Amino acid sequence: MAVAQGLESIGDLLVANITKIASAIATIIVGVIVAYVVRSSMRRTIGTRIPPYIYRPVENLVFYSILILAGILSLYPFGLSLSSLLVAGGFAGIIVGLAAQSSLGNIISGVFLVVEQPLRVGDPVMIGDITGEVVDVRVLSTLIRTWDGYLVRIPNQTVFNSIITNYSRTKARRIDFIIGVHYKTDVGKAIKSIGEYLDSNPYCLVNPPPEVFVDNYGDSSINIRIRCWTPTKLWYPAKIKLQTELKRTLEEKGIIIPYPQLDLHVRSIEPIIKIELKDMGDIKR
Amino acid sequence: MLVGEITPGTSLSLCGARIIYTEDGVLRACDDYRCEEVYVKGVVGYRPAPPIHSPFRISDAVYIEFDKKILVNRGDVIWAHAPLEIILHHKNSILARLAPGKVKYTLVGNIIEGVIARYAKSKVARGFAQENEDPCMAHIAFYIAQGEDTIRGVPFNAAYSHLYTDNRGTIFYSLVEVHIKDTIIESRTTSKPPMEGLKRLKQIRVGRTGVFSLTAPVIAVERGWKLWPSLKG
Repeated sequence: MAVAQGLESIGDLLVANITKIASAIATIIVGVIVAYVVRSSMRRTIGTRIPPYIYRPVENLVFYSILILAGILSLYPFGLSLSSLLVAGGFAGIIVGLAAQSSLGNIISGVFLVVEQPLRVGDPVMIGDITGEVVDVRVLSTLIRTWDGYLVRIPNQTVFNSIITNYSRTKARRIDFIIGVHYKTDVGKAIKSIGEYLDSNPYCLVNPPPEVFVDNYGDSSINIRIRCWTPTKLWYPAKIKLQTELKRTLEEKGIIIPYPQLDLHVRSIEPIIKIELKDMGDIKR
Repeated sequence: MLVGEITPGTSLSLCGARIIYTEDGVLRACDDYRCEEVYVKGVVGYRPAPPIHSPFRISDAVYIEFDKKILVNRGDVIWAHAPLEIILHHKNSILARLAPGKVKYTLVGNIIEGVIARYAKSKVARGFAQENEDPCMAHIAFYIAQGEDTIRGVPFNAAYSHLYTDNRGTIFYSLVEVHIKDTIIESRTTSKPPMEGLKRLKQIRVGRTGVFSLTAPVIAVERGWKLWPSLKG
C-alpha cells in the first residue's frame, strides 16, 4: 500500500514537472550535439593547422566546457541557479573530493601536464618502464603506443609523478656502442677505418664530431668505443645502419672481429688412472 | 649545365648521379644513397633545387662553413658556394630527387635550441668569382646587414631560397641577409637576386615557404660548437 502510494506520488511529481524534465533532457541533448559539432568543425579548420600537442588540449577544453555548461543550463528549469550551484558545490566538492580523490588527482595532473608539457602528442618518450609514442594526453589519462604496437593507458597522476624521458626534445641523439677487434689488429688502422666510415656516413653529424677510441682490453678482444651523433629523427635507422655496415667495413679492411676464446696452457700430462697388470701368465697362455 | 632535358633511350651522369631513361619509358635515377625507378613518357626535365629533400627530409637549413674565419663589417657582401640537389620532373610532377656527392649534416647551436642543417664547406671571398671549383655547387652571397665580427660560417634557410641563373648556366642562390648580434648570428633568406642581370629559375614545389630566421650562438658558428673536446684530433 505504502509502495503504491509512493509510486503514485512519484508519478504525480513527474507529470507536474514533465515540461521541466523534457526541457532539461533537451538542453543536455542540444549541448552534446553542439559539443560534437564544435569539435568536428575545430578538427576540420584549426586541427590540421596547429601542432597536435597544442590542438588536443584546446579541443578537450572546449568540448568538456560545452558539456559542463549544458549540464548547468539543464538545471535552470528546476530553479537551480549558478550561485546556488556554487554553494551546493562547496559541500558537494568535499564529498566528491573524498570519493573521487584519484580521479581529481588525475585531472589536476592532466592540467599540469598540459601546462608544463614534459611530453606532447607524437613525442617518443619513456614513462617509468613504458617506452613508446604519445598518442593523446586526455583529461584523466595519457595514451602511449609502445614500439611493439600496444596501446597503454597511464593515469595522469602516475605520469606526472614518474620520471619522464623525452627523446625528441633535443636536436641530436648519440649512438654509442662497442666493437671488439682481434689483439693482433693494428689498433690505429682500425680506429682510422672506423673514423673514415663515420665521416662518409650521412647519418653521423659533423658537429658534435664522432668519437672512436679504445675503451678497454677485453678477454678476447680490444674493445673500441664508437660514438656518433645523429639527428634525433634518424637515430633508430642510423643505429641499425651503423651497426650493420661497420662489420662489413672492418672485414673489407682485413680487421678481424674475434669470437670469445679461451687459451688453455697444459704444462705436463700426468696419467689420471694407473693400470697395473699382474699375474698375466694365464692370459698370455 | 644543371638545367636540361632527357629523352627516352639516353643516359646521363650529372654531378655523380646516374640517370638512365630507357626506350620503353623506364626512368632510373641513382645517387650515392638510393635509386628510384619510374615509368614515364615523353621528355623528362632536370633542374637544380635547394638541398633539403635528399637523402633525408630533416631540415630546411643549410650551414656553410668557410675554409677560414672571415672578418666582416656591416654592409659587406661575402661570396661562398652552397650545395644543390637535382630534381627530375615531368612538367610539374617531381619524379626523383638526387643528392649529388656525399651528404653530411651538422648541428648548429646548442643541442636544445639549435638547428640541424645540411653541411657544406666552402671557400669564402669578398667578391664574386665566376670560377667555381665544383660546378654542382651554386654561388651564394651573404649580405652583412648588422654587426661586425669574425665568422666561421653561416646557416641559412634554403627552403625559402630562390635560384637564379646567368647566361652561362651558373646557378645562384638568392641573397641572404646576415645579422651578427652579441651572442647570436641570424640569417634571413630573401628572394632578391645576389646581382643584377640574373634570371630566376622556375622552381617546382620546394618545401615550406615563409620568412624564416635561424638563430644560433655566435660561438657555434665561429668556433664550431662541441659538447666536449673530440678525441678524434
